[in-house]
Amino acid sequence: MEIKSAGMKGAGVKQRLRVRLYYSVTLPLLAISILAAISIGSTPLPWRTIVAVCAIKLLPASWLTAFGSDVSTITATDQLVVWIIRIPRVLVAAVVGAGLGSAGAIMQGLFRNPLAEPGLMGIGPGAALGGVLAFVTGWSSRSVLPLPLLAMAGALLALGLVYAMATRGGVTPIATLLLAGVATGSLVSALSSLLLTLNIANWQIAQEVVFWMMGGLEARTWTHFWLCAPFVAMGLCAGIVEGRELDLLMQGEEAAASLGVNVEAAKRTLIVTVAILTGASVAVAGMVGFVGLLVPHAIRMMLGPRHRVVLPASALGGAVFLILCDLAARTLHPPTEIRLGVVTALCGGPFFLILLLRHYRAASL
Amino acid sequence: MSSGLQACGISVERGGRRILQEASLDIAHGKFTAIIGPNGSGKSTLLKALAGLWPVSAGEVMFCGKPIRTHSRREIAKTIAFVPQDTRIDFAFTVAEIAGMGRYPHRGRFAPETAADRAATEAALVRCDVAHLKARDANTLSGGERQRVLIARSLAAQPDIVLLDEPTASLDIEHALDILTLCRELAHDGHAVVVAMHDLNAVARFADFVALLDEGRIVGVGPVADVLQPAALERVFGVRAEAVTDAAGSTHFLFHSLK
Repeated sequence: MEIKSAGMKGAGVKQRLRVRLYYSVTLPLLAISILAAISIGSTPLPWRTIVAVCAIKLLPASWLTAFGSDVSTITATDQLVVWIIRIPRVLVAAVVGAGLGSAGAIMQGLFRNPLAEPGLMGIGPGAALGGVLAFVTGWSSRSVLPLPLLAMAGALLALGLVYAMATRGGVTPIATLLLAGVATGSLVSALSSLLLTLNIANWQIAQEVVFWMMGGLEARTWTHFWLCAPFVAMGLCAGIVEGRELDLLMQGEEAAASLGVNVEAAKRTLIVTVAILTGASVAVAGMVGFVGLLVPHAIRMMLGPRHRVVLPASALGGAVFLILCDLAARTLHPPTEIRLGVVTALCGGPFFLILLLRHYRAASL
Repeated sequence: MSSGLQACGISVERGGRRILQEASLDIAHGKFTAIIGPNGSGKSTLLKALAGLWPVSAGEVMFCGKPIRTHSRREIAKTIAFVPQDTRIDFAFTVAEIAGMGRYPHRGRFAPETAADRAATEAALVRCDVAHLKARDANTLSGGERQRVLIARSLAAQPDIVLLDEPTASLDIEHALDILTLCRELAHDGHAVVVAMHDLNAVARFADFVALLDEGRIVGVGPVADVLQPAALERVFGVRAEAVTDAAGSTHFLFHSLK
């Protein structure tokens, strides 16, 4: 009996070691990719310049003497490139990656399906339509705010519509939710395409809309970061709080209820959480596919399916993945930027296949 | 074992159809109660209503002297375990993780696993003879092993009452007998065990009490020997039942088509 309980602890220890290994690789990787993404570009910047600009912006002036000549040689252009152009873009990439990664993990648990992704339930298409409206009406060219705000409104409206259609008497069957989501998603996507077709004569609007639908992070500012980051942080926390409920929902709703979960309340919280995460991410980055599908899947293969582990790990993994994809998007084919959604699909697809093959080979041994 | 569970004249409606009508049943501790009846007669419905999972349209399921709908899911889960018919496990949780989920109603939202949680999970795994599998991914188990793991999950909550929905439905004869023997032992340990099942010979061999359902009504309830009568079986199942007594003195049924 004692040997047996030691065995049980052994399995837990092994898993905890794997989690620790994951973070000890991924956290430095995050720091390196942030630094690399700021430094690489049409104007290459040495890391000392980056550190010096951050010091100027973040530290009180009296401390700057410690940096010596680094600080005194910083030009206004350096400051502009680092602080206004590159850093916000990299941070937005990190936050969007975290948001989409954790949203995907929640969706897959909720639908008991490893192929579920944040675009289901109509949230992604809803956000896309909001964005298209901002372009077509011309509001997006007047200020930064209308585009992300309309996109977020679109996400929440689409979710509200889907949820209302799928709920009867306080009960929301997951299968109905999926069907209502797919139907609403197609309808809303059709509306986006209709708006695009009607405006195809206006070359500039059409290009903006097409680019938006392929996702991208060009010209992102601190405003975009602050629009997105609080919601992603909130959604991630809510997901982690509900992590154990999500584990149980993965066993089937009847099983979860019989084990003591208030199923309808948990589902409601989780669905709204997915909407907040996806809405905030699509609002600032457009439609970026594959992150929500690929990242949680890879994490689950490495660390097992428990959501208290999977959610924060997916957020971190998604952040690193999207920073690197965005770096590739703007440096692979200068001076043209490749669309971010195209890069995520191009890198994500093969990576996903390799993981899948390795997983099945290991399982068959 | 003060946790009484009774169905008092309950009816259940789904989609405008009555699938259970004025059913009354007292769940006895330390006994194995079998719920039998043809497909669609309301076995699963009765079980789920007893677990408080489905709302009743008339009557009341009484649990600890109060209607079960007034208890929180968490309170119910500490006493009543329900093993659903759907044993699908899609994600690679380990057997130990699956069994540990039975501790959910006992744990606070952020409470780490305590020694008591680990002990209860371990005891449940040993009880169901799956302790050797605990590092295995549950989605690689055979049907019989999976069913045992799910029973272990329900026992980890340390319930007084265990409800099982056709636990032997997709198992071969050996594993089916294993599961029913386990149910028998749980009853012997003092649990109230209620099993929806199809095999009437297994009922005759393992159960203490039987509730016989026909088109949503309980048409017979009592000790096995009283309910499993050829006449009643013919009326409900539409087959001729012939009772045979073997050399050891136990009763077996042979069934013949009426056509």
